[in-house]
Amino acid sequence: MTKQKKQALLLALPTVLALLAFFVIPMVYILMITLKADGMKYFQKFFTDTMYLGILKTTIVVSLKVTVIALFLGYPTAYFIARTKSKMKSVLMIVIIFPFLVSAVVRSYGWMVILGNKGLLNQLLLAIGLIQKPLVILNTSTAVIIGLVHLLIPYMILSITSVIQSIDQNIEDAAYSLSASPIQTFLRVIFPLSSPGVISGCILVFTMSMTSYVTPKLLGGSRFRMMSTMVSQEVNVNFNWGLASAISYILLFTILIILLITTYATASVNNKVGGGKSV
Amino acid sequence: MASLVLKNLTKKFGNFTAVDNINLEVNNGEMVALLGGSGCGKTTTLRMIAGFTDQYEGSIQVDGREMNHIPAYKRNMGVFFQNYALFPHMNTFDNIAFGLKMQKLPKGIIKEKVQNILELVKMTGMEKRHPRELSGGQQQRVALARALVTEPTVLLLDEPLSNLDAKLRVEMQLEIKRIQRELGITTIIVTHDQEEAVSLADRVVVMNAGEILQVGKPREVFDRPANMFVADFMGFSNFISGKVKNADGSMVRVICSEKELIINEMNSAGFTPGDSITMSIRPENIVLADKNSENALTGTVKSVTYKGTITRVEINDIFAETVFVNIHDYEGYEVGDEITVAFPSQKLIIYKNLLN
Amino acid sequence: MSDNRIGWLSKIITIFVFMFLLAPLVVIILASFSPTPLVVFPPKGFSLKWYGNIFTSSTNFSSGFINSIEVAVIATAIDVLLGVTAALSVSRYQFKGRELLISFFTSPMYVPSIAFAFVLLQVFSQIGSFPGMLKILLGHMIIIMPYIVRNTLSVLSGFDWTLEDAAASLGASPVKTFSKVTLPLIKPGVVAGAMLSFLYSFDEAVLSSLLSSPKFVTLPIRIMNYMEFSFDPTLAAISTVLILMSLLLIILLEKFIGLDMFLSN
Repeated sequence: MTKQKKQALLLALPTVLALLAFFVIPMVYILMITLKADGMKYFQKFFTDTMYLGILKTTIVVSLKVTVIALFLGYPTAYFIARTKSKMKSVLMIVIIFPFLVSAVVRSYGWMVILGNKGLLNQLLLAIGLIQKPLVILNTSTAVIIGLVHLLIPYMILSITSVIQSIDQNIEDAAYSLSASPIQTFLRVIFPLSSPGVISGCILVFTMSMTSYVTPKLLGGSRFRMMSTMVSQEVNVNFNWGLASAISYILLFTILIILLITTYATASVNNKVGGGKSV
Repeated sequence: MASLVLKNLTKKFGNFTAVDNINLEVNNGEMVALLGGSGCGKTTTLRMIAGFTDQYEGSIQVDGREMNHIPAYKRNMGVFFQNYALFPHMNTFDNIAFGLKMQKLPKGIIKEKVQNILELVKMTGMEKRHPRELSGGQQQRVALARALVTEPTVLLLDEPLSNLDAKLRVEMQLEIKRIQRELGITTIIVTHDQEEAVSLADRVVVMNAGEILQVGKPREVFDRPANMFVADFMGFSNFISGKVKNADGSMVRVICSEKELIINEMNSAGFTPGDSITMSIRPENIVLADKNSENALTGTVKSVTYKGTITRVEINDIFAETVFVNIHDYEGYEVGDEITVAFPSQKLIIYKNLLN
Repeated sequence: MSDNRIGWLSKIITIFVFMFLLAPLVVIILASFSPTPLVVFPPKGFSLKWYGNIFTSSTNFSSGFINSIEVAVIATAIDVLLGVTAALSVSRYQFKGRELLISFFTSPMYVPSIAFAFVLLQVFSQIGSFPGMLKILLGHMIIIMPYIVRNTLSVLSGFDWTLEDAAASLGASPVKTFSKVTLPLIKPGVVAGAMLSFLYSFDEAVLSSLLSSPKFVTLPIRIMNYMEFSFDPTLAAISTVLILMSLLLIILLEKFIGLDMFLSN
């Protein structure tokens, strides 16, 4: 198919050039410049300083928590949407997707109004006497986690809904007809078959949480730092571009490594879980 | 209207040879069927003729003109696709008119031609309907009309009847034959259905594994398949091994499972006594007979299956192999019964076994 | 079959998630009408003054809005051209390296936007003075690309390619085939993808934050800046405008195309 391949490559050329020129080359170039100017100095600084390592650890821990919560809340929701016959389905889809289209800035603002010391949540709890003093949620990791779950759970839900919808309902019926209880059917049939969606949803949520900027910045305040906000701080406040560079690339490589590992893991899972698709 | 010549046509996909050195001449106005199972290369051949697959070896000539470097959209061939490939965003009229618009014909002429072809395929009045509003049979006719309206030099039909139910299929077979005769257009039809090939085509080309196994008039291919593969494909369910006893002129005597049979009306040259052969006959050609008839043999009924138009009977104990017979008038044989059948000498075919 | 197969637990959690997703947005909309700077519940009145404040405030929300639209429109337009051709290049035929090319087209998705933003910042500072608008435009162009490519790939995966053969057999050149057959059929899906990408650029806050110049600031950044010195419901008002924009878009999408595009894996 050389003629067809030629045609394909010709069509692809403009985009490939654009990506090379404005994306790949800048990223590689700056990495080289950083290494040339400072060598591994800032990379070493990052890995030897407990404060910086602590921020990496916080970022990972927060992202894991967000992923787990998103999974536990998202899976049942996804199952509901995938299997429901009610007219609610399109309404639900709109509700899931529409926050996607609202800026993270606006969404975080909404949570600030709710979670602040004088925010709506505290007002409510004080009014009904459940607490005596306002709960400090804003500017802590809890607020960030809530904000990130809100931001990212649609990815989890959509990923899992998609997979569950492709599982033939007859398979569930087959399990019931073989005397499996709903729980057994879920554990032995549905969950394994939906694992590709679960995995891709988790990867998506985890990586996006690791790299999030706006939500941690607005909901975490100046003292709570994750990797992205630290980069911004080094750039705009400390003017330590070398360090900022190092942190950026460390974040990038962390993400790439996680993606590589999970791609291999997914491949092996997909080999075992082949069927279940409706024909 | 044109003649089509394929010379040494070969197409490879990597290590896989899909079409292997095909040679075929199709005459002006002739309808030729490429018949074979899936993967035999018939569709690839069609696509090469249409221009959808390039980079092949060999030559394709239409009226003597080499097609090799001519892109598909300049070949003026009418193509009918197995999945119809009707443009979903256009109604019937626009679908059919598409090719005429590409020819830059004036609006008035286009309208006239479309109306005429709609009449020909009996779809007048359906101009405004979109493909999704048409039944399978209707879509098929629109697809046919679209391929014909541009008055192409060659018409290429890819499995035109395979998606239709039995009744519609019979109807459309007659329609296609009628239209092709009326327009006199050189046609290649690709099919896996031997009944379809035999009823539509002037000549049948049986293909397998990229090669042509036999070319001939339907009756020839149907009654006298050139080799065992073609025989099997054409429905000769019986393959009995044996040896040649003697061969003389138009007659050969064979011994199968120690029973002697005589075969007439065949070219006995090339067969010598002692040759290992395989004897074949169509199930519907074997007849019930009495023991005195020529080539009559007796066996035991193994199974009886009623199929509506015929009854399929399997007979053991005549040869080592089970004999399959299709009987028209079922005569109440039961499993275990003794049954005598005759193998008409002019309906038997023998093939030499190349590996002894 | 009824919804029996869905357990009550699923239903409860779904309702909770439903409310959780809507909560901040509903709160914002209600807060925008608050008569007092501090948002209280239950609301003590109704006022539209914060909407007015959008225009009278010293923070120039209007220019922010216009700037955001400008960047989003241009970035989306360019990316539709680039992204659709890219998707076409890998959808028609199987060839070696096809998967690699697809990964390349979607690679910006995997780079943290802060990292990319900072790289661009450094590059531009080396080049010298460069208009803020162009810096942000270039950044957005790259960031949006994967989404348009993925969306178009998904649209094309359901495309019947024999239609292109049919058009060719009827005498249509490759250009005519594209304009008369392929494009009309993929247009709805591509337009939907473009609308989403437009919003994505509009809402983008990381690149815009690092690359904005004093003369060119986008709306999300204006909002963040406003937050630095005041937390009054003007924020809620401008946010409500944005929320309603998004809501309108999603309802339009649902009506005209359906939301299945979000479910492609």
